[in-house]
Parts: sequence; C-alpha cells; structure tokens
Amino acid sequence: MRTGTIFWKIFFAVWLGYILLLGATTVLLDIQYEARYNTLEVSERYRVFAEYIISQYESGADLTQEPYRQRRPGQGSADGEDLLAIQDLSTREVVFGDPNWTERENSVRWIIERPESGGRYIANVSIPRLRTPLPGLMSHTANGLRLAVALIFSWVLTMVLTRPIARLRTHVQQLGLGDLDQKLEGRLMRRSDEIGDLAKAIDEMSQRIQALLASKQRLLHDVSHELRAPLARLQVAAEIVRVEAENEGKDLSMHDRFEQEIETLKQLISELLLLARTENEEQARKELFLDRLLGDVVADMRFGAPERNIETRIECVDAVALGSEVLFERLVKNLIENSLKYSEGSVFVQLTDAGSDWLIQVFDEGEGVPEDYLDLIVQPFTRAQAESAEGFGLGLSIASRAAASMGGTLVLANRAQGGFAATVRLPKYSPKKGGDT
Amino acid sequence: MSRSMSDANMEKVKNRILLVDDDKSLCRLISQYLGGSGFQVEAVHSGSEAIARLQTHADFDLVVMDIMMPGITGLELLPILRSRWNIPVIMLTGRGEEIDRILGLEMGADDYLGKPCNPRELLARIKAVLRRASEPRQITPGLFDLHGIHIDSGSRQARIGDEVLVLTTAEFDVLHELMKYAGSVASREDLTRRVLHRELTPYDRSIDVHVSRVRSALRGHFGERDLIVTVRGVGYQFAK
Repeated sequence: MRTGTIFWKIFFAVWLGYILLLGATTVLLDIQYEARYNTLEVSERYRVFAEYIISQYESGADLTQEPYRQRRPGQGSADGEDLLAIQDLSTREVVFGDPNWTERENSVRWIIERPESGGRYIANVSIPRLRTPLPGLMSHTANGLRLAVALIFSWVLTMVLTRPIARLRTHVQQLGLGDLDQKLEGRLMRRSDEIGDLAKAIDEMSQRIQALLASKQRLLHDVSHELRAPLARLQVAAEIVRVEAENEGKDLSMHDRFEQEIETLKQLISELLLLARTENEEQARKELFLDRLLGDVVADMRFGAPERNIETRIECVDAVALGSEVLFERLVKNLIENSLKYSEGSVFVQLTDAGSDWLIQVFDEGEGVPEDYLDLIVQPFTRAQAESAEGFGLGLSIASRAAASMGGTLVLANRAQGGFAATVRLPKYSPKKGGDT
Repeated sequence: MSRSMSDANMEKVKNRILLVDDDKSLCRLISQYLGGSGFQVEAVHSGSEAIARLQTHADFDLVVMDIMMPGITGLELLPILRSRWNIPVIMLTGRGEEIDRILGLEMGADDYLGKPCNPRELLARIKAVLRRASEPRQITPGLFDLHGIHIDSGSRQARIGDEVLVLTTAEFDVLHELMKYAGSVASREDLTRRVLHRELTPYDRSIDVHVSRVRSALRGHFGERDLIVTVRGVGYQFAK
C-alpha cells in the first residue's frame, strides 16, 4: 500500500499525542502519589499509632506479636518494611520496629512524652522514597513497550482514518484517467460522516461528467450520421449534373472540385464517426493476433504507398490481445500513415514482447514534432504542421482512443537520433484464463 | 453465343435493378443516375416491400440494398433473398462500419459499398457483379478434379462426391480460380480482379472474406486439413 503525506501526518500526530498523553499521565500520577505521601500527613497518621504502641509497651505487652508488627495506619509501604520505629529514651532500647532505624534516610522523628509514666520516647517514621504507584513504569523496557503500543495504536487509528480517503483517491484517479464507469464501493457511500458526504459528492460529479461526455459523443455521432444522408444525395445529384456536362462537352473542372470537396466531407464524417465509436463502451472485444494483423496492415500500407520503405520487425508469434479488430487496424494504420505523411525516409514498425504488455512501435526518420505539441497532437483537429498537412488532425486522436479502448496506452515522443516515435502498449491476453470469447 | 452478341444483347435488354433504401429522395436520384447509364431501376423503401415485390415478379438482375432500414434491416433481408431467389446482391453499408461489410459478405452479398458512395463507383460495381453473373456462360466449360473436389464451371457447381457445395457466385469463382492455379500462389490483387472484377484497394477485405467462406465450406469435408494456404502479405494458394 502506498502511504501518502496525509497518512504520515496523521500517524505522527496521533503517535506524538499518545506519547505525550502517556507521559503526562505518569507525571500526574506521580505528583498525586507524592502528595499523598507528603511528610506531614504521614507523620500525623503515625502519631496516633505510635501513642498506641507506647501505651501497649508500658502496659507490658509483647510488641513482637503479629498484631502489633504489621499494623500500620492507612496504606503502608508495599514491601512490608516497618515504617515506624520507637526508642525508649531512658533505656536507649528500640522497643518497636527496625533496630537500625537511625540509618534510615528521609524519616520524620518526634519525641513523645508520657506524663502518666514519665517515659520519653523517640518515634521515627521513615517516609518511603518517592515510588511511582506502578513499579517499573519508568524502566527502559516499559518505555519501549509503551512506544510500541503507541505505534500500533496510532497505525491502526491512522489506517481507519486514511483508508477511506485512499480509496476515494484511487477512485478519483481512475475517474481522471477516463474510467467513468467505475462505481464507488457501497460501504463508502453509506457512511454518514464527512467522508460519506465526500464520496456521494464525487459519485454525483462522476455521473454528471459521464452524462456530459455521453451526450457529447452522442451529438458527435448523431450529427455525423445525419450528415451522411444529405451528403449521399448531394453526391448523386452532383454526379448527374457532371454526366450531363460531360455529354455536352463542357468544362469539368468545377465538377471535379465539387467531387473533391464531397469526398473530403465524407472522409471527415467517417473519421468523426470512428472517433465517436472508439469511446463506445459496447465495442465488441475479441482475441486479436497482433502479429498477423500488424503484418496485414503493413502489407496494405505498402500496397497503398509502394514508393516508400516500410520496415517491419515482428518478434513475437501468437501475440494475443483483446480488442476490436477494426480499431486495432486503424490504430496501427494511423500511426504508420502519420509517419509516412510527416517524414521522408523509411518507416519502421516493430512488435516486441514487454513482459505483461505487447509493445508496438512505429518510428520514422523525419524531423519529429515540436516538444510543445507532443501532448496536443492527440487532441482532435490538432496538427503539428497545420499549413502543410492534409487530413483533419483526427488520426492520432483515433489511435490514442483505440489504444485506450484495448486497455492500453499510446505514448508519442521524439527520438534522440531524430524522428518521431509512437509507442503503443497493449496488455497481453491469455486465452486460457479468459475462457470463451 | 459469342461475346459480341451478348454485349449487344446487354445493350438492348435493359438490366433491371431493384433498389432497396428508405431514403426516398436518394432512391429517386440513384434511379435517375443509373437510368442514364441504361439501367431500369425500381425502388422500394423497406425490406417487406422488397420481399413483396420479388414475390410478384422476380425479374431483376440485381438487388442493391441499404443495411440500415426501419423494420427488416438489410442484414435480415439478405438471407431471405439468398434462400428464395438467385439474384446477386450489392449491399450499401450506411453505417460504413467494417463489421457490417464483413457480415454482409459472410451472409452471401456479392459486393458491398460504403454509403455515401460515389455513384460512379456504384455503377462500376453493378457492372462488375452483372458481368460476373453472366460470364460463366461465355467461357468454355471446364472441369477440375482435385482432392475429390469436382468443379464444373459450365453448370457452376462444385461437388465433393455426390454432395453439392453450397457457394455464392463469388465463392464459387474464388474456388474455381484457386483450383485453376493450384500449387502456385494467387495474389489478393489478382483474385480481386478476376473474381470481383475490380482493383484491390487498401483495407478491402472482401476477397479474404470470400476465401474464408470457401475454407469453411471445405472444412466440413476435409476437417482440419486446410487445402487453402494463406501466404501472408501475398495471397492464397490451393494445395496441389
């Protein structure tokens, strides 16, 4: 999966946020704990306990007994240490708790005087060093673990957030490539959040574009088609007049002109119809043997232009692709014709195996096309050399759309050694996988 | 009957053409144009009218019909005509789509022409088809026997054993030509000239369609063994 910038932005933001949150929580917990164990509070709590122990001592109780040993007010130290130590100042004897209490650090002491018995004692409460409530929370392993958990958590969260965006992006990209039939997943459309809204908006937009394109195609097709009937009549009428003029021995040059212009119109109309048809989705696609078809087209081209040298290099046998025979022939024919028209020397045609694609290249030894025009010449009615050109500038548009209709691409470029090169990539088709056609 | 006499006959007896097209004004214009060249044209404007007209009088030498028509289309009409009457057919492919042309030829049209067509071209095709239809009676009858295929160019019949091969005129001529020069390659140009009586133009696949029709007719008897070999970029060769 390709992860874009938005993915990493969200990912790092979430991860950072998560780490900061964890850190802050730890610090807060520490502060709270420390506050609970502040010196005053501890000593205050132990004061009563100490008085009780002393009274027991004076009444002669055995303080080593279990009830006394372990009893502490409130929450004690978790490790079972005796926090409280009491020393009889008169005998210097430690009567309760740890005998080595003097070595303890961070402790609070106070003197307890017993007016009834006249005894003086010193009570010592060792305050535990600041210990976080979850032991080991700050260790390196724990930090690593926390980082890893944060990583996974952020990853999952980011995926959840960006996956639908990525899907929308792929969808829009496909729309941009002209695949308007593509439907958005129902899951995206059903979402009730902003992404769902976006998906619905994109879907509406693509439907609208599709309708617009379809109506444009239909208009192009219908207009061209409707023009043919009057043109057919015009041609017969012109011919009748011509025959009359011929019989009367009149000058025929204007009649020739008529005929020539009618032929031009006819050709333009049939090219436009073909262009409209290349985008027709109902185009019947069948298995095509590119090597054979290419050979046929080249034979036809040689037949049509016997004075020109068309060299072929067909390196594959049984090169099968899926498409319309008519459109494939037009594709190759238009590319060769283009090279014949705009160059003087030989024209080279080759078919090679390029892994998952078949590669058809047509190149010439001419001057090529100005770089600025390379992207433009596939647009209808665009010609690189407008003044010298014959034809309508539809040839390469038809070629490009024909390649697209076969699921392939047409790339136009100038060759380093001079001349123009058209490269067609058509996806291979394996009949075994495809089943019946 | 000598050639000059038959030509004279053709001058005298006007060839009758049935034009089937729903564009009435175009029909009028074509009738006028072909009329000027000595043809008698009758126009009908739908497939059902054409059938009705032929049922009363099948006295036409040629049918010229459009593919795109309301009701019965040209492609639907063609097999009906083929099964009932032995009249050559030229198809006008209004859509100009190659698929229609090939379909038309495969269903047994003798020739096709894109529409709008140059009327001179239509006239030339009409003459070529008519010449082909009348020609066999003028050449000396020939008999060929090859691989068990028996060809009688007099009766225009091709038989394998006792079984008659069902072929259109163009298909019969293709088989005839190929067998006549069996063992050598007949170029697509020559075949087009000799069978269709016209020049081959680039992207003209008619001759290939006719050859492939003959091939499939033979396949019924010879199985996978292909008697007609395609010589790529040149033409076809009949196995000697």
